[in-house]
Amino acid sequence: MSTRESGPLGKPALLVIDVQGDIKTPRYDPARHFPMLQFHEYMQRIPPLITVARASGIPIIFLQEVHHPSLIDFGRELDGFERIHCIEDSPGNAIAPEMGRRPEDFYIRKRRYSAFFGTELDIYLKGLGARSVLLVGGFTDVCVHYTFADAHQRGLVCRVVKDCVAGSSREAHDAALQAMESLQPGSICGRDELICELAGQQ
Amino acid sequence: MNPPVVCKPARAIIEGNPALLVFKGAAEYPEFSALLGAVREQGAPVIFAEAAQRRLAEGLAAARPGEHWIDLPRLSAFLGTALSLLLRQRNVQTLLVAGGRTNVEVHYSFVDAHQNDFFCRVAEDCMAAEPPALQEGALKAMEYLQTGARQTAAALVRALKADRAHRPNP
Repeated sequence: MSTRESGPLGKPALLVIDVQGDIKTPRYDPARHFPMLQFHEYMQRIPPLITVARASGIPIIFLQEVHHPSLIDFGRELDGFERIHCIEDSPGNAIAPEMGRRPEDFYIRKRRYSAFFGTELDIYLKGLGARSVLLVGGFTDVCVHYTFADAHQRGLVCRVVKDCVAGSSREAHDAALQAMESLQPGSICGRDELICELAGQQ
Repeated sequence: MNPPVVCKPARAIIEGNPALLVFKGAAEYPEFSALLGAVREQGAPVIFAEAAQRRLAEGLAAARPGEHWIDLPRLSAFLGTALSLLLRQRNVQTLLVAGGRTNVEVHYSFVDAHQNDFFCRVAEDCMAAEPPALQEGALKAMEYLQTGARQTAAALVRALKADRAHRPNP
């Protein structure tokens, strides 16, 4: 663990954002053009990265968006394109079993898009001494992008794994990747490239 | 198992009470002065957000007594500032935004306004992205969050005037 701090990522934490429900079945809805066509394929690329991160001693933090069945905690979230989603404790909202979450992993429920908004993430990252965050999950253009923006504004080094995130549409996914790269140049990487980097840092 | 069916309410451009958040460079757009005038005419709060150093260098000429200045230590006008408190104290529900970089200060302030339960509308003809290629993506992302997010300054002025006509005298 100690040598890791000398690499460009310092001490990273892996944030697995909103990988919920069935990730094996395509869920593309042509009527709404939502989410992007390859959503399930991109999500299925995450578990090998989690395995490598675990082996490298990188803490894994699972983020799960939840909303109360009474809908009182949606705020403005139903005033745009999104419909009712992520009702807490509903079977379709469980973290995908393929992610292999373990009891020792960190687990945070959130009621907004950013993983920092109204959650204990700041406290966990501080306690872990994390100076960088690796982001995977969905949607690229919503929860990932806005978690990235908050991490960036807190001075954390960010990496978005471009083939382990998927968006509300292909166009929005691409635009969000561009926006994040513009905010923090060098922050977009591929999964296998990141795996090599993590192995090299060890 | 299915979530309850709820019809989405149609939202007005101005829901409740408005305020105007002004970022750097707004005054360079000719459409901006009418927007600022309409907000002032309604007596709605105006908040100028800028980095403290720039404010000192350029003076406070644009703000009138009773209007607000906030230092912008990061990108979102909500981060490390009193903006959220200020808006609640002034009983604001709809935040109008002009100036700044569409893909940076505007987009991330919009997201924080949204997550803090405010309605948010941007005058897309009073802002520009840096680089310019990111303008459309940022505007579409905001419209994804709140239908009606994208407005022109003229449309906001019309909405403010119509809204004012429906209000009892202050």
